[in-house]
Amino acid sequence: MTDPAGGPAAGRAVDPAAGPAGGPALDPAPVIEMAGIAKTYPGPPPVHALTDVTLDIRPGRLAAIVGPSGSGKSTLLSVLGLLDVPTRGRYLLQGRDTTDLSERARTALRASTLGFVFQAFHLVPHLTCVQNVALPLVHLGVPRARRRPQAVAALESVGLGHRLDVRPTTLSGGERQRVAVARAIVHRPAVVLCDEPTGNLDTANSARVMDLLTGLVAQDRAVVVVTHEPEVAARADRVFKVVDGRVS
Amino acid sequence: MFRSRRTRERSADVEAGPDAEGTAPAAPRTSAADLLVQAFLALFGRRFRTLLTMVGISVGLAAALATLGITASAAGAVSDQFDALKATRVTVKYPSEPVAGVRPRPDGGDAQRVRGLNGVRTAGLVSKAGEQPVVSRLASGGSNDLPEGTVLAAQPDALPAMSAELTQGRWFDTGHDARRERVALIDTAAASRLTVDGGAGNSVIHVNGVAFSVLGVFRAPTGDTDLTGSVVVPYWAALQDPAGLGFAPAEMIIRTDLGAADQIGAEAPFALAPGAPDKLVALVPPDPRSLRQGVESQTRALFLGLAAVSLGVGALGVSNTAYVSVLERRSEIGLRRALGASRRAVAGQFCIESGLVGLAGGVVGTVLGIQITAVTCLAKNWLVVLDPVLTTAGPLVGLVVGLAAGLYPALAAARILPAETLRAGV
Repeated sequence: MTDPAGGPAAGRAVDPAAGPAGGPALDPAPVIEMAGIAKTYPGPPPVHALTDVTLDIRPGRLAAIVGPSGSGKSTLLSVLGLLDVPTRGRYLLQGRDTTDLSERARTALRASTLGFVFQAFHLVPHLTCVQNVALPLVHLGVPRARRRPQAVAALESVGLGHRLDVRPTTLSGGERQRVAVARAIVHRPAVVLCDEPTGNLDTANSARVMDLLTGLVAQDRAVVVVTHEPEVAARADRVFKVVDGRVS
Repeated sequence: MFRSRRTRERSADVEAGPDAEGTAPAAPRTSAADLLVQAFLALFGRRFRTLLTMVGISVGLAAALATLGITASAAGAVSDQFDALKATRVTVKYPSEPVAGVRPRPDGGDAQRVRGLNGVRTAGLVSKAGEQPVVSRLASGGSNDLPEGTVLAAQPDALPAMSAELTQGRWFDTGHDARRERVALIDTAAASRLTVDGGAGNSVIHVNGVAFSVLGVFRAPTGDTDLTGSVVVPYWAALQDPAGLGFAPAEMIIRTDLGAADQIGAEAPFALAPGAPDKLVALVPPDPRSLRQGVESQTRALFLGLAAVSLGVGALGVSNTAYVSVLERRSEIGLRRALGASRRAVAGQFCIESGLVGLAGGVVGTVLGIQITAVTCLAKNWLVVLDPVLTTAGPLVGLVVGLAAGLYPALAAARILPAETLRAGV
């Protein structure tokens, strides 16, 4: 499957870190490749949440997954996020086959390669913003001395450098989601997966969060957004429509 | 870590695929120190609840320690009382028949022989009437005013040796004994039955019809069945038996210094019957140390049971709170799993949280328990008896109880599936 929105990506800035090795790639290799993925929840009656899903997503692209409720969007995102194991098919993440990985190895790959943004933010209420953002680094085992500077940098990049040591409960919805975005990118993952990231936000905050996500794309990351909202889908380089567990 | 991951990313960009296949990154390990920090932050974030849960363990442990401490101190105080009365009394029994020159009722000189022993404070011979006497205020034909009473013939020093206290009148002395005077001392219980007021020689009682003047009234030590309700006559009466009472073989009552009883018990038969010491039987008090242990172990078993129950209630509190906390924090748990925490790390964090609550509860409970013991002992004027091991064991028990109580909730937390808790709308 080729990406029809390849054109705009060519004009984007490329992560300087990739420069010496790769240089500006016109058609980078897909970071996500799915072939014939199916997910069936055992019944009775068995539920075929996904049927024969084949797709690929390249770095530096924003992909939107749209579809009616119950169509299988969330299941697709869970499989993409290595939170759920497909019943059938092959899923390559950064070229690594994830299908037969042990749970430990999946956890490790997920922690180092993926970032998550959720509709309900899922910030830990008893931690400060900077502690929340540093959580991926804690569970990755990054040395303590490096965590705070990285977390502060991530918060500054989402415009929350002045809210470092407050609890997320004191923040507005838009601010909370920006903290969540900072958490998703603090460990510089190759892919950021977003589940209805603007679902709880007003128009202005939605636009701001989408600007942030688009900015990640400019840093050569792949961003996948599950959404109901046409405005969000309109900003995507590629839209996957899920209907009855099939992707078109 | 970070840099090496970047390197991996770059190589994946370039070489895309086959190379990277099968080389899954090493599983991330959340360090124990980080789990401790995360557990502490979680507990601190719910200070009030943490405090209440901790109080549950504290109360249990404080109750346990206080009961142990107070029991031990009380037992110490009880055995101190026993010590004073019993631990210094040695009784040497004479044989019932004359044997090898040892008579059942020796003459009065025997007491002199044991008084010379080092550690003896006082000693005297006592013999108890074998027959049930009729004791009455009337000379003859009167009813028995003291149906439960006994008559003892005793040397003057025997009564202090038996810890009797004079309340009225005077003791008889060696002169009364030597002159074979018919005088008597009676116990306060007997005095009230006989309505004798113990005035100097004013009252007369009749034992089997033989008149004795009452010289004084004494109080028998609590729990002494021989002296309570008794009439005591001079020792000559045991040898002459003017009232036909059929006196039993004599006993030498010896009051020793504290700690000398065992030694005196061994020496006295030799002093009294050098030719045949084995014909005499010396009764020595039980070792005060074993006595104390006996008292403690009985009461301790009961209170340990109560303490275990209260600790169990505290543990249930911890377990319950931890389980509710797991249910409430499902999304946090799912998130941590998504961000790379292993099941073990999640279970570990929750175990540490419960363990910390238990440890804190243990420390507070130990301090409380010691305080309660100390204050109680202060009020009762007891010496504080508390095993120093308990001060270390208290917090440790708290920790273990907390960990055990947190085990099931922690395992429940580890079973939570991130995909289910992180979906939109959850």
